[in-house]
Amino acid sequence: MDEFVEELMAQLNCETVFTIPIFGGIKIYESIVVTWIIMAILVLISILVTRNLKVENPGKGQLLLESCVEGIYNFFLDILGNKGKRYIPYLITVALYIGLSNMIGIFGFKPPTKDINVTIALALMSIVLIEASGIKQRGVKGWLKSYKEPTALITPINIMEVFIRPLSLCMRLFGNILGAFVIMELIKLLIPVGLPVVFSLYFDFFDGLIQAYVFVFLTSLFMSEKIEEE
Amino acid sequence: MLNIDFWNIAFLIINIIILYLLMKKFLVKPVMGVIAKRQELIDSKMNEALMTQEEADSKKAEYEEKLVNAHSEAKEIIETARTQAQAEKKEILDGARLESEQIKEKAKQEIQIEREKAQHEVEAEVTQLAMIAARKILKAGGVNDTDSNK
Repeated sequence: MDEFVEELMAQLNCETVFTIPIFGGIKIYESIVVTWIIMAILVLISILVTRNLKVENPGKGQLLLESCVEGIYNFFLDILGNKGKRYIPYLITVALYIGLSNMIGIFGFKPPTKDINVTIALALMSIVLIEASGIKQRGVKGWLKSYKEPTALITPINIMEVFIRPLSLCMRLFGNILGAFVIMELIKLLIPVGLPVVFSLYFDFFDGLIQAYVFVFLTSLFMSEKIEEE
Repeated sequence: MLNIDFWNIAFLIINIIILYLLMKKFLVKPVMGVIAKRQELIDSKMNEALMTQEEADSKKAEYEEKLVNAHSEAKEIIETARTQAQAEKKEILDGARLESEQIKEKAKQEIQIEREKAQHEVEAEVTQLAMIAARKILKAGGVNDTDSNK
């Protein structure tokens, strides 16, 4: 049992892959390296599938790709409206990144989203984007004013939300993926044959995609709140 | 797992930004561009079709009007021809009647003249015959008278 705990801890620990010898040594964690791999996979797949796009007579593959991208695009467009159009590519990127991160465990990599640094970074970017979209849409004054809505009484709550929202985004993603990872490790230890497949379907695919969906959905929802004129 | 490290967060943010730019360039832009282009194509074709249809409709109306005009024109032409023919017919008939009347009149006159001429001739002949007869009688009577007188 001790052995297992040790191994689990080793699995959970984000190892330092290498250290950049400046500023007293910057440690590069495994999650960053896996992120590079994910980036490479996403870009390669993107280039492969968009190689031969035709305006007229598109093939079945292109139609599938188009309906997928357009479906995701319209999903965000419905939430954000026309004013938030410019943020859609970012949200699509994050959705793809988180989705693939959560599923990459099946290829033997440690999911980057299991590292709290990654989720902190994503949540930080989300909250910056949320507030920036508000400033962009209403100007600094209008943005500050939005904290008094609907009444001045809940201004403290609105200000707290600036911190609570990214924290909840970050922790939700981190906790879910970490929990799923730990459970999967336990199941693998218990019955290494057959059973993990079933649970992997749930924890890696379903939960992974749901978490990606929830993350970008909430981000876009908060953004639409800020973009919306009173 | 839980060691929060500033540099890693910063690197990840940079990574995500790079990934965002790459995905925008390689995935979203091409696909949405193709979709937008197709939409444009469909719109332009649709407009074209609508315009062609409108044109065809107006042409059809024009031709229908022309057809109606042609019909009425034809009717008019026929009508004028008919009245003209009627008038001509009447004129010809009238002319013919007049001519026949004239011919008849002339014939009557001629007959009259002939008759008168014949009458004169007969009268002259009768006179001549009477004269001959009278002369004969006179001649014969003279002989007889002499005979008897003898």
